[in-house]
Amino acid sequence: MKKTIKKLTAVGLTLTSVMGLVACGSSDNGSSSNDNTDKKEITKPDKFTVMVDNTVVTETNGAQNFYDYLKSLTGLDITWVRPDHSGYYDAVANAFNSDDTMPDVVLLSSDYYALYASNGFLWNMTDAWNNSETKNSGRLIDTADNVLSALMVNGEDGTQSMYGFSPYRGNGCNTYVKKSWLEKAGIDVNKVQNEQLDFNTYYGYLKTMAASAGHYVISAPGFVSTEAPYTNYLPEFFQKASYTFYKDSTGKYVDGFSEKAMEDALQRLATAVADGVIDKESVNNSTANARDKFYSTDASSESGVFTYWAGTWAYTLKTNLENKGLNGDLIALKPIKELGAYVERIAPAWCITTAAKNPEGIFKYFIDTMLDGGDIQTAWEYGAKGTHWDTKAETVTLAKDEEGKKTKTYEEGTFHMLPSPEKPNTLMQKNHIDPILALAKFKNGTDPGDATMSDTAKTNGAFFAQNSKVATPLPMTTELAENITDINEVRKQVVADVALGKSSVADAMKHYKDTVGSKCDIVLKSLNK
Amino acid sequence: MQCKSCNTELPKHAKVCPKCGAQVGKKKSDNIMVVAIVGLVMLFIAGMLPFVQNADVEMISDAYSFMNIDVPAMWYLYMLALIVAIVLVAIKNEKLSIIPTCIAGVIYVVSFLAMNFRGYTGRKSFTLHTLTDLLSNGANGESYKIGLSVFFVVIGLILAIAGCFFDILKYFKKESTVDAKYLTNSINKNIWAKIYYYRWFYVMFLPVFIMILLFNYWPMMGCRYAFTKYIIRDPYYVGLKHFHQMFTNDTFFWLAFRNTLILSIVKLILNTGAAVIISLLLNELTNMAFKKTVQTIVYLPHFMSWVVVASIFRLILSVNGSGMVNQLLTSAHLIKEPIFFLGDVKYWRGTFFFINVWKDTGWSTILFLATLSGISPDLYEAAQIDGANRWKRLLYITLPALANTIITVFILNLAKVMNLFESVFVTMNDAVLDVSNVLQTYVYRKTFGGGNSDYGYTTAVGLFKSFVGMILVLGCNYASKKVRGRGIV
Repeated sequence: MKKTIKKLTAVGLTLTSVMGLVACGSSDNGSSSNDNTDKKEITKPDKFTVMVDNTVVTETNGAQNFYDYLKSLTGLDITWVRPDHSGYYDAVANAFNSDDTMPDVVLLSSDYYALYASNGFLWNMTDAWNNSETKNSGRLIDTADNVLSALMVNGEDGTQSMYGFSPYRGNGCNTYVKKSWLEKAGIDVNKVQNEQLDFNTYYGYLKTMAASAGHYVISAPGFVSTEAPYTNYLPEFFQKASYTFYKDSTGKYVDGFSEKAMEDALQRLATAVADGVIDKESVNNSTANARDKFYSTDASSESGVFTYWAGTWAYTLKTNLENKGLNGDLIALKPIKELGAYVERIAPAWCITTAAKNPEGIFKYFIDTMLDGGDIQTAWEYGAKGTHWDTKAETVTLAKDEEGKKTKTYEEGTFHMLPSPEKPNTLMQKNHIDPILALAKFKNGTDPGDATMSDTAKTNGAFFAQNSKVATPLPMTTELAENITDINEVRKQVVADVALGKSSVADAMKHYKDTVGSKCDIVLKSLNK
Repeated sequence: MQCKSCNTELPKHAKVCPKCGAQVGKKKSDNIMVVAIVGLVMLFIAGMLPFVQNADVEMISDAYSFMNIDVPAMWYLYMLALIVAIVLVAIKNEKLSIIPTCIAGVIYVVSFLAMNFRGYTGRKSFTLHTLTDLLSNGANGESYKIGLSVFFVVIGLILAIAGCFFDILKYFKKESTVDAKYLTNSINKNIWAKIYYYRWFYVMFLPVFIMILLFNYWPMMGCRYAFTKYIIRDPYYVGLKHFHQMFTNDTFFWLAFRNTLILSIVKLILNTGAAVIISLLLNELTNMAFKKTVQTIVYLPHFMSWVVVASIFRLILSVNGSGMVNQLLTSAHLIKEPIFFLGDVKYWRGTFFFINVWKDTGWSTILFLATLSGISPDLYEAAQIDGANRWKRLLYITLPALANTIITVFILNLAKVMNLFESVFVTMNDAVLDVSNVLQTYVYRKTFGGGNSDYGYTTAVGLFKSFVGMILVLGCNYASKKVRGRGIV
C-alpha cells in the first residue's frame, strides 16, 4: 500500500511538473482587444490597471491618498502598478510579456513609446483624441500642437498615428549664467540678459569669465547626454548640428553626425576644452557632479555657466546657490543666433495598451480628464487635497526649517501646499504634471496653485516655452533598433576623443565611418525605405 | 569457485569471501561514465541548435528549431529528460539513464518530423512550415538544409547510450587495491539507501535545494534567448546568428573580451602580490597594537561601496583645483600639466589597478596572515640558532609555508576573472572606452543604452562569457587537484 501511494505521488508530481512546463511554453492565443469598435457606445471602464513611474507621487509620499482622491473625483476603479523607478522599463518589458501582466495603461518615455507603438502593443488613440473634450475645449496652450504632433509615430503597420497622450510639455534645457560671474569679469549684464548673442560674442564672454575665474566656466554632465536630443547640455557649441539621424530639407533621412555641421561643432568643443572654457572632466561628470560644481563654494572648482532643465529647476538652482551662501541671481541666456532655439524633449506619453478591454472608455474617463481644467487637473498637478495641498484655514508647520519660517497660517479658501509626507521639512511642490508645463489652462483661466509657484520658475518656464522647439521623433525600424546602441557608443567616443584633444576631427570622423559607417548605411536604408 | 585472495572455497552465488572479505567476481566500476555525459551534453546543445538552417550562408540566417515549432513545450520536455539522464549518470545509475535518453530522442524525432515550424512575420503573426516544405521549397526565397542539431543528436545519442557501457576513466585512473566498501561508510551501498538513512538532513536541506533550483537553475533556461531575436512577447529562433555576429561583426566584442582578460588577470596578480607583501610585513611586526591598527586601516577600504571609492578617487585625481595628486605633482615640478588619470587611455589602466589594490589588498591579507600565524615558531627558533637572519628565515621558512595558500588563492580567484563589472563601471567613461570596456559593462551598455534592449544578443554574449568562465573553473579545478591534491568544485 505504502509503495502504491509513493508511486502515485511520484506520478502525480511528475505530471504536475510536466503540465506546469507545458503551460509555461504554451503559445499565446490571447485575442487583441484592438478591434474596431468605432460605433459602440463609450462606457465607463469597470476596473483597469495603470503602470507608472515615480513621476506620480510615490507610495511613501502619499500615493494612496492621491489614488483615493482621484477615485472620489473620477469614480474609476484603478489598480496602480508602481515598479521601482530605476528599473521601471525592465518592469514594463516584463509586464508586456504576457496578457495577464500587461497593464491597461502605461506611461512611456519617447524612446520606449516609439518602440512599443511600432511593435503593435499600443492602442491607436488618434480618433479618440480628435473627438476629445480636451482638444475641443479651447484651453490648450499655443504650443500644444507641437508637443502632440511629436507623438505621431509609426505603428505596426507603418502608418503614423497617435498612440499616447502627454498632458504636459516635455521641457528642456536652457543655459543659466551666474550674474556674479559676469559682473566679476566686467561683462555687460544687460547685454547678456536682453540680447541674442552670436557664438563669437558668447565665446568671447566665456573666455573672459575663464580668465577672471582662473579656470573653466562650464562643467557639463557629459559632452553629450544619454538620451535624445543628446546635444542639450552644450547647445551653443553643437548649435544646429544633429547628433543622430534626421530628415533633411529634401525629406530624406541622413546621418547628422557625419555632416559638416557636426565636424564644426566638434572643433568648437575641442577649442573650448583646450582654451579651458569647458571642464575636461565633463566627460566623467554625472548630472549630480555637474550640479555640485555649479553650487560649489570652492572657488577652484566652481562653474559659472550651466545648461540645465528649465522651469522648476531655475528656482531649485537659485535656491541651492543661496542656501550655500552664493549669489543666486541667474540669467537665462537667450538661444544664441546660430542655435536659434533650445530643444524641448518629447514628453513621456500615457498609452493605452492592446490588453485594455475598453480603451475608448479609459481614454474618455481617465486620460481625457487629466486636463479637465478643474479638480482632476488640480489633483494631477498638485496631488490629493488634505494630503498634499488644501484650501482650509490652517497653520502649516514644517518639521525643520530655518528659524522664523517654520509655520505659516492660511485663511479659508486660500490654496496652499502642505508639507511633503515623505520629507516633512519641505513643502510639496507638484504631482505628475508640472503646473508650469501643463498643456491646458484651467477653465477659469487661473491655475489654483499659481500663487504657490515661484516667480523664478514661472518666468523661466515661459522663457523656455518662447525660445524652444520640440524635438522631432525618429521613426523606429528594426535596423535602427538593432544598431543604434553601437552607433551611439562610437559617437560618444568620437566626441570625447576630439573634445579632449586626443584625435583630430578628421581622424575621429574617419574612425567613426570605418567602425560603424556600414551600420549607419543599413539604418539609413531602412529609414528611407 | 575459490577466493582469489585466500583460496578459500566459496559458496555458490557468493559476492564476498566469508573468510577474508574480498569481493568475488567482476568488480563494478566506481567511475562516472564520462562518454555518456559527453553524449548527453551534446544532446543538450543540440536542443539549442537549428534543425533546419539556411543552405547558402551557414548559421547567419533565420533558422528553425525546437524553439519555433508550434508546440514549444516539447523543448522543455526534451531538456527535462536530458537533465534526468545526466543526474542518473552522475549518481552512477547510468543504465537507467538510457530510458530518459531514449525519451529525449523520441521527443526530438517527433518534434523534428511531425511538428510545424513557425516563421516570424510580425507580432502574433507567423507562417507555418513543415519540414519537407522547408527542405524542398525553402522559405522567404531562401533554401534550407538539415541543420547542425541533427548531427549533434545522432552523435550525442550514440555516445549517451554506448557510453553507459564504456568506462573510459579506468584507463586513466590508478586501480584502487582496497575494496570500495572499506573506503566508505557501510550504509553507502547506493544513493537511495544513503538518502533514506540521512532523510532528515535532506528534509532540512530541501528549502535550500528548492531555492537553488528556482533562483539558480530555473533562470538558466533563459539561455535559450541567446538563440532568439528578442521581440517583446514573441522572441523567435534565429539559430547561431548572434554568435556569428558576435565573433565576426561586432564593433566592441573582441575589444571587451581582451580588456576583460587584461584587467582581470593583471588585477589578480597585483592584488595577490600586494597582499602577500603586506602580510609578510605585518607578520614581522612585533608591536601588536601597531599591527592591529595597521590591519584595521588596510581592511577598511574593502567595506566601502565602489561608488563611494570612485567618487573619492575622482576628487583626489581631478585635473582641477580639488585634485590633490595633480597639485602635489605640479608643485613638486614633476609635471607641467595636470594628468587626467581617469580620462586618458595612457593612465586609466594604471589608475584602475591602483584603486583596486588600495581597496582589496587589505582584505586579501586575512588568509595569508592566518596561514602565517599557523607556522610553528620552533622552525624560526631552530633557524635562528642555526644563524639564519630575518631575510633567510623569510626565504626558507615563511615563503615555502605560504606558497600553497598563495597558489590556492590565485586559483580560486582565477576562476572569477570574467566577473568584472562594478569597479570598471564606476570608473570608466567615453574617453577611455577602448581600454576600459569589459564584457559585463559591454552587455550592460548594450542592453540599457538605448530604447531597444536586444536581450537575445546580450544573452548570447553573456552565455559566451559563462562558457569561458566554465573553462576557467574547470582548468582551475584541474590545477588545484594537481597542486593541492583536491579540487575546488
